[in-house]
Amino acid sequence: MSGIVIQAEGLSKTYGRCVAVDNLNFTVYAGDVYGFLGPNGAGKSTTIRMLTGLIRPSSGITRIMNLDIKNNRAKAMQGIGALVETPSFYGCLSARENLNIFAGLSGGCEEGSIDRVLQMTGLAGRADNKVKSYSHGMRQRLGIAQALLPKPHIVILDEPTDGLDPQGMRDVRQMILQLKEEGVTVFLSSHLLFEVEQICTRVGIIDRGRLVMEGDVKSLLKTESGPVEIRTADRERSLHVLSGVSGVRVLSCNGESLFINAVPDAVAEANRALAQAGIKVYAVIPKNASLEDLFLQLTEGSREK
Amino acid sequence: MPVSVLRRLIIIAAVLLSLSAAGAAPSPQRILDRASAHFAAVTDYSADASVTVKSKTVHIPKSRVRIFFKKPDKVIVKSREGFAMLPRQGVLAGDPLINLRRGAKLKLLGTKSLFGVSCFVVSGMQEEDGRQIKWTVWVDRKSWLPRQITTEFGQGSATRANLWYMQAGKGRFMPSRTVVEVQPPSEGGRGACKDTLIVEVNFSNYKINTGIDDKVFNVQGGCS
Amino acid sequence: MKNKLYAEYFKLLHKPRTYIGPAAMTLLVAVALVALKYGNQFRYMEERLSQDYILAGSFINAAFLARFMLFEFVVFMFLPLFSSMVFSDLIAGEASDGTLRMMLCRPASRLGIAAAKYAAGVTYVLALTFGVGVLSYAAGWAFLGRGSLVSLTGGIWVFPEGQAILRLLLAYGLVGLGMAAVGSIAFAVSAFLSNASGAVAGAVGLVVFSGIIGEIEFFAPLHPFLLTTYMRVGWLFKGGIDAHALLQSAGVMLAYTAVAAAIGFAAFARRDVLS
Repeated sequence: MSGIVIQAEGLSKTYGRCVAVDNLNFTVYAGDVYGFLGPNGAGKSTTIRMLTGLIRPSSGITRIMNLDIKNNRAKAMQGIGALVETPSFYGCLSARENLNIFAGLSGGCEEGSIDRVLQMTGLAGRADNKVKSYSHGMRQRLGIAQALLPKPHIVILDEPTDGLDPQGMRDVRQMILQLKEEGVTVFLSSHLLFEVEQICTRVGIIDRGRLVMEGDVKSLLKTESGPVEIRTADRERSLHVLSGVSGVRVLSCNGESLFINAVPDAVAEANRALAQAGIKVYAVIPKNASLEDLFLQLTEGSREK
Repeated sequence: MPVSVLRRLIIIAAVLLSLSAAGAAPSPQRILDRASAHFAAVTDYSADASVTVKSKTVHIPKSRVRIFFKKPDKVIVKSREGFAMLPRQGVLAGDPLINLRRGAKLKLLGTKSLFGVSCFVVSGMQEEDGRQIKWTVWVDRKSWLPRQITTEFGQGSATRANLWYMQAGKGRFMPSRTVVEVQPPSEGGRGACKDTLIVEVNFSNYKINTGIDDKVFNVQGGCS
Repeated sequence: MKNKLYAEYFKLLHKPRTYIGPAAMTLLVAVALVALKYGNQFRYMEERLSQDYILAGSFINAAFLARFMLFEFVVFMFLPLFSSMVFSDLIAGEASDGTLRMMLCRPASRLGIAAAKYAAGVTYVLALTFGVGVLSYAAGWAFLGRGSLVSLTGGIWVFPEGQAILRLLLAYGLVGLGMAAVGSIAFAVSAFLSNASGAVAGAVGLVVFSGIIGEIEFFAPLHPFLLTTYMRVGWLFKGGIDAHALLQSAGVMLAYTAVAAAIGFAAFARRDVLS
């Protein structure tokens, strides 16, 4: 169990007849930047709320630093910074005052910490303005600031770039990478798969309350096949021919190109079938596998429903 | 009868008549007039008063006030404690006999002893506000000071006032203590108290005929 | 715990809605003061009394104003409303604002947070209640003068100033306990809800309902169990101070407070924060 900082075992949450999270098991290791992905309503926020002790699991255990959240929440949350969904603050107070209050709930913070996190999130110039005057993006940044206040060794971020402009998004990505350099473990959920692919070391993909995939990002993308682009002289006939080739799935069409998903042997078989049908094949171009492709593959069932 | 015997009989009769005239009780009118005369010479006075009220429904703590009186009927009470409340019927200022009408069917009931003091007892009746009021006054035979005044208003309503006196100046007597017992009517009737009210007032430190200004009786924010 | 208490008091003092109660009560004291000083209703009372009594000074004074502010509309409506507003904001209000979620992501025990919130709420209601008393006495002193307290409850009672202040302190103390009980009920309801107005409606509704039941003779067997029975303080302004009744009133209200607070704490400890 060494190196494990966050662990979920048999985690479930039901609301009446609705099963929000179903027997979830995942592990986050020290130093990971763990991306927690899933379509809308998959159970990501519910899982994060159970991780932070905001809601009680119906069954199963969540552990942070080997401490059971259910029985030892206060101790487990020490050294943890969390941002769960849209951050909320006391609008009648300034950013500095809000952070002061949250710091107090964490048992205080080092001198200068508030200024440090405000500087990191670009809010130093507006620190003494009332939060009710802040834009959505500024509040989001303030939410990240409060998560970083206790100089955490684990940071849990739920959609941290929500509402940020591109510069802001880049700043957050840089910050997460900086945290990673410092050895901080980051657990984040995001819809922006491109950025998750860039910064995460491991991902877990949840669909309809269940974990459908978990692993090292690079390894997952190597083992999973990406789409293959085939350019032919006759797209319509090509579609007809490829529908009969085993192991080939047509993903989409674009002009002369067809995009298929197939293992290398199936690609060769597809090429042979087209040639046999007398269709000219101009190019067969394998595309790199992306996290988005993987995600869409795995969660196809949810969308169809 | 010889003239000398007749003359002696007339002289004896005259002496006997004058002796009987000297020993006969004065008229009720005269008794009340002499009693009132004590108060006639007092134009104004002020005195310290300690007031105790006993009642089941009216609960007023012992109050220390200063009473001011000026003829004919100006009365005001000032309290150093900020507020004081004294049952009106329990405070006798000025001539206690002033409301008893002289011509009202006066009758001398004789002489009786009250608290060991021999008193003339005079009763009277008068009509007021459509009701018959019967009163009795006990006047000290020696000092001519009224010692007790009882008044019956009908329907069981009555008051009884007992007075004790002290010397307040040369030849002048003023009440040192009054105890007034007020019995409410048995049914209906006016009045703030619904049960027997006993008001005891102890007077001291009289200042008489000092020429109290009328301004003293001007009330600001209170009642007199 | 010190940090949590500081946080709650800081928030309380900086929220505009905290000041609605004090502002409303200050206005009410001012209105009552004007009515006493210039209104005919109380002059008429004085004139009625002066038919049978010689009055030295006026009974319309600071003590009278402070007593007047304990009339039923204040004790059963105004004060419970403002107490409930603040207590319900502590949990349900923060839940609907989303700040409860932010607080509970910190390494602070839920019971510790709940205790700090509760302490802030109790401090507020006691300060509000006694504040009404102090303000009305001070305003009365400045504009009406000091003196004995005249009470027309069950006869005529005149209490010298020292006695009057003692009785007023006891009365405001009981009312303060009552408001703590009402606030605790709002706190308990608020622990189950994510909407502050629901908790306010629940607590105030209970007080009003209880007050109505307390006036109906048919429900006399229930009267000893009603909170509002013990919030009535008129008996402190007639006769001697009944120590047994005083302890009983305080005890019942403390019991209500304790039970409601316990329910609130338990519910808060187990509550799923979904907002």
